[in-house]
Amino acid sequence: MDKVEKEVCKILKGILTTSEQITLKSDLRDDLGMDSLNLMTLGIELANKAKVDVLKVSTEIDLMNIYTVEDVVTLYRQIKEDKHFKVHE
Amino acid sequence: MRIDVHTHAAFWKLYPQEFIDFISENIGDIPITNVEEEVKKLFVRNAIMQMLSDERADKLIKQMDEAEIDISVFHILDFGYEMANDNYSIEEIYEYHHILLNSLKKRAIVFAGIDPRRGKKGFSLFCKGIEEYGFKGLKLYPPCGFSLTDACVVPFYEYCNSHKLPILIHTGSTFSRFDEKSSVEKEKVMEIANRYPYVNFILAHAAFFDYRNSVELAKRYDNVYLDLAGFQNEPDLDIVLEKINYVVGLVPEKVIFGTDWPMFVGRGKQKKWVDIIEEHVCTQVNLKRLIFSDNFLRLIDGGKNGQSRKRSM
Repeated sequence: MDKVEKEVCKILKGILTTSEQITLKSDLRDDLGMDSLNLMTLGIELANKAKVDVLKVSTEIDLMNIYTVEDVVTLYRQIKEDKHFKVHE
Repeated sequence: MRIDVHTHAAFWKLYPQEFIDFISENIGDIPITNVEEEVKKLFVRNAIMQMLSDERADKLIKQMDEAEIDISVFHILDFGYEMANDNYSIEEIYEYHHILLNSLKKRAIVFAGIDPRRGKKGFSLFCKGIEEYGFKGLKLYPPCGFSLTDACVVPFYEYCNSHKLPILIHTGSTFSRFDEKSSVEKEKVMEIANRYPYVNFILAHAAFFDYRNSVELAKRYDNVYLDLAGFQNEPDLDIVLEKINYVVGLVPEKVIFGTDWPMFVGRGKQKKWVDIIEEHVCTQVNLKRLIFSDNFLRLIDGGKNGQSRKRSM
C-alpha cells in the first residue's frame, strides 16, 4: 500500500468498529458494515485530513456513490490534488 | 426480464424542502468533535442534495445495467399539496416525468402520483398523465392526510377501474410529519378491492412490513398484489428472508420485486438487492420469472402483457 492508501485505511479504522481486515477491494457496506452515517463521517474526516473545504466536498462529491476502499482512495487523491477544494484563506 | 416496480426519480426539485430535511435529519449525529454542529448539518444536507442530483436518471440507469434490470417503474410523489414545494409545481413534476419517460424510452414506466384532495384540477392532470404522457397507473400516498375510502379518491378509482389501470398504494411507516395522519387499514383495502374489481392494487412495502396481514389480503382478493420495496431497511438478512420466503411461499403469483430507489442507496447498489432476492428467494426459474416480471406485466396495459388472472368476484 502506498502512503495515501495507508492514510485512508487509518481514517477508516478510526470510524469503524469492525475487526475485519481492510483491503482496497473491501466493500464499505458489505465487508466493513458502513451505513449512511459512517459515509458522512468519512466524508468530513477525509476533507479534514486533506485540509480542504469540508462543505465544498459535500456539494460536489456524491458520497452515497462510493462503494469500495479503492473508491475512497480515488476520492481522497482527488480532493487532495484538486486545487478547487482548497480552503481559501 | 427484470423489472423494479418501485422507484422514484432522484432529483431534488421534485421534493419539498421539508422532505429533504427529514431525510438529512434521519442520518443521525456525526461523531466528530472538532467540526461545528452547523457545518456537520450542512454537510449532510448537501450530501443528500448530491444524492438527489440524478436529474436524467444516469446513476440509476448505470445501476440498472449492472443489476440487469430492464425496466424501472417511477412513482410520482405528490407531497406538494400538504407541504409547500418551492421547487416544482405538480404540473412541472408531471412534465419532468414525461420528459424522463421519453428519454429513457423502454427502460421506464411512470405511475402518476397525485394527492386526490387536489380535486378536479388534480384529476384532470392525472388524466393528462395517462392519456397524453403515457403514464401507466396511479400512485396513492394516504399518509399525506387522506383515507383510501374518502370521497375525493372515488373519481380516480372509477377512472382506473374503467381503464383497467393498476394503483400502487403506500403502506407501512412514513416520515415523522405524517405519522399521525391516515394509515392504510386492512378493512379499507378490502372495501376498495371489492368495489373496483378491474383495478389491481399493489400494496407497496407490504410483502415485508405487516406481511402476515398482507398475505391474507393477497390470498383473499385476486386484485391485491404486494411489493417487496423496503426490505433493505432490515439489516438482519435472516429476518428479511424469513419474512419474504413466508410471503412468497403462500402467494408466489402476487409478489413483485421493488427497491424504493433512491431511499436505500446508502445501504447498497441495486445489484445487491437483486442478488439477495434471486439467490435466496427465487431459487426456481419459474419463481424468478413471476417476481421479477410476470406478476407485474399482468397488471399493466389492461393485462395485455401477460395472462390475466381469472376473477372470482
